[in-house]
Amino acid sequence: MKTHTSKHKLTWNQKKQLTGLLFLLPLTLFLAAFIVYPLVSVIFYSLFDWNGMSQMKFVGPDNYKLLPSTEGFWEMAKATVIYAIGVTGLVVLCGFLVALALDKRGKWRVNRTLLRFFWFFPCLLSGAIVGIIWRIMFNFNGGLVNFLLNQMGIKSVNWLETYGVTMAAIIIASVWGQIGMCAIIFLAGLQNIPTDMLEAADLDGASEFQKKMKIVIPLMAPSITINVITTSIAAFKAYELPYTVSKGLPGYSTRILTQRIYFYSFSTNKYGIASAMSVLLVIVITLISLIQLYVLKKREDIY
Amino acid sequence: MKKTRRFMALLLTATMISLVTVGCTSKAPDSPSSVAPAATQASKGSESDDHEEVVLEVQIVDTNWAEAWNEMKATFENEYPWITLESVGAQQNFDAFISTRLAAQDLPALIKITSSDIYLNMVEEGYIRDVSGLDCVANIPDKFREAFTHNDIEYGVTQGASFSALYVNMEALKEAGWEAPPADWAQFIQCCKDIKEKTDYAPFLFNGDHATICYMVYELLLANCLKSPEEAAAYQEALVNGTFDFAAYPEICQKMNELIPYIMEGSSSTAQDDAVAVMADGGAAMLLGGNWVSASALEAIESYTGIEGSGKAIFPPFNDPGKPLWISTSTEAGFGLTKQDDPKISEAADIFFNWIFEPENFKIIQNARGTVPVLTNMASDQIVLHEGIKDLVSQVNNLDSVMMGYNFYTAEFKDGACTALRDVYSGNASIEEAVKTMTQLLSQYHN
Repeated sequence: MKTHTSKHKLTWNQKKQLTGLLFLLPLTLFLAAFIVYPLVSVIFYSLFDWNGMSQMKFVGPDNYKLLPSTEGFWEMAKATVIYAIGVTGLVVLCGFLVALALDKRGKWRVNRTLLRFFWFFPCLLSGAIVGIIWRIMFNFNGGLVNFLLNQMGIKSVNWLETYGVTMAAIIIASVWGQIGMCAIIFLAGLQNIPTDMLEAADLDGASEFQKKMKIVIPLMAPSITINVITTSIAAFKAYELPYTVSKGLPGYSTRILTQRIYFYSFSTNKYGIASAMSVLLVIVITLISLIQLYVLKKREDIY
Repeated sequence: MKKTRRFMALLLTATMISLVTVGCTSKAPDSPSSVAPAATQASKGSESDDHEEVVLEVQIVDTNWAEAWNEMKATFENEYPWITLESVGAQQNFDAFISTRLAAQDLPALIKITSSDIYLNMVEEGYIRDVSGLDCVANIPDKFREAFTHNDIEYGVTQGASFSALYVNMEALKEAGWEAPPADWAQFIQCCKDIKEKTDYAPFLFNGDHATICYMVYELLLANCLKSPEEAAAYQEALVNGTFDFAAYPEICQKMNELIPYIMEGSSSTAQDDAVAVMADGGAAMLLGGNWVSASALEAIESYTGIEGSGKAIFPPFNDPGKPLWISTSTEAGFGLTKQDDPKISEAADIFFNWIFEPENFKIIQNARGTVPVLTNMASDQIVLHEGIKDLVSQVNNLDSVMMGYNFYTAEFKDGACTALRDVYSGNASIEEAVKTMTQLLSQYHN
């Protein structure tokens, strides 16, 4: 009897492992249900011709082969890349500058919390709301942006119907919406920089610029890595914000691939093509993220 | 400092809890208790004893009659206290909404339907019921019933007939020296020119964001190039078969080039509500739109001028001088019934469906939308339309017309053609390039 009881008694290590597993279980189930299962399903659907109602017809890789010849595919792929690069570059750059400004010690310190709130506020809004706000502001007839331009003596710009300009408009809106989150991550990084290093640099007579270039930026490498990767993934996946600002116009110049996926799924009910496009986008995002991770990690290791 | 922080944290927590509590306990704006009269509530208890209560999800409300929905819901629930109506998918792209609900195999009992692919597929796959056995269809003319018949299944009933209209700010025209609206293409272009030169108004506006309206500008030019009903029928057939050559009508390109300088900048990306707002702000003199926007467009014009009757609706005068006027018309989106597993829901859906198409109830939708009446048993005093559009409604059936393009084209063609046309309206491309694209797209993507 005694032997039987001791057989079932868990050791401290086993208990620790079990606790760990129990902690992991909810998130694992969540990931399995909402990430892994949909991902596997979308790969599966991409091999079929299916309108969501009819019998599924296996077509193998045909949906993938069809993609390049679908209307506006290359223009949309180009728009996606330009949008992702523009948003990532500007969000990271502006986020860093904002963080530096908000981190400034001295008389500004009193207002730092308030300023941080103002910069972070757009992140609390949904992408669709940010998009609608900017669409109204970019409106050619009576929009705030053109009103301000006119006040400065500049002619109105047709923000929503001019090639190139509309892309700039959706990038501006996206940067405004995302800059706060990026700045917060940079701020956390800035506060982890040891002050003794900066003091030592002061003693050595380094200028502010030299301190930023030689100490701050290198030590911020991990924060840069996080921000570049998360922002670029978000930009490739973006849907509602660019759509609500420009509806993909003019032509296909601001129609990013996620909008096309939605179109094929819910306007034409061609779930096979939509799924193939989704899989392609996942592959592209994964590859780009891995390359970024490799390059930026290498840079982190140098420092 | 610490105490202040603690106090702030407590205050924020308390505020959040109270907000969540208020949010969870308050009723939605269109919930029965908030809109139904007290009598409804009283009767609900007693009459519900005989029937099991049913909540009926309906996806029929459109932005242009959303305000009338509460009246309709309250009236119905007063008559049928055991049925609670719940509007879903309002103010959304209804095709996309239905696609998502279809994916979840959770369709509302009543849905809005058109003749586009998705609904035809739903008919073929048995998701939509045949309504031909319902009482209400007896009062719908055959041509409207045929519009929603597929594979011998009558899959819906239209909520009206629509047509293209031009909403004119007569005060703007007077300022430009026009006492009466233009009557043909030459006059229309001259009128646009005068407005541009003599007033601060933009001459011509349309909400190009909406595919039907975006295509309507081209469609009206095309319609007025057709010489006979046979040619119109051939165009419609070719649109379905994918054989129509848009480049075969060079006069359309010529007219479009005449029109483009007078299109208000921003039109191709303007949404319906924005267009109405522009008219309310006195930004444009003439607005092209469907009859479904008549009430709001005419009221917007009158609110700007402050003069009753200053907003006038006319048929778009795109006809050559001395030639008959052609417009585009359509059976409007209709209402259909989906197959439901629960017979109680199906029964309640039938009751509501028949109820909608009783003249006294149908007028709520019809008059809010300013649509052409379709019910044969509707009395003239039940048709209350805006004064500015009344005359047009009575003339629609006497005019030559083509069916609006959305009855024929596929989603891919619609998307590609409207993208090309929007480029034309915004000055980014020529109409000649657009017609080439449209012909090529149609041959590739047709029914």
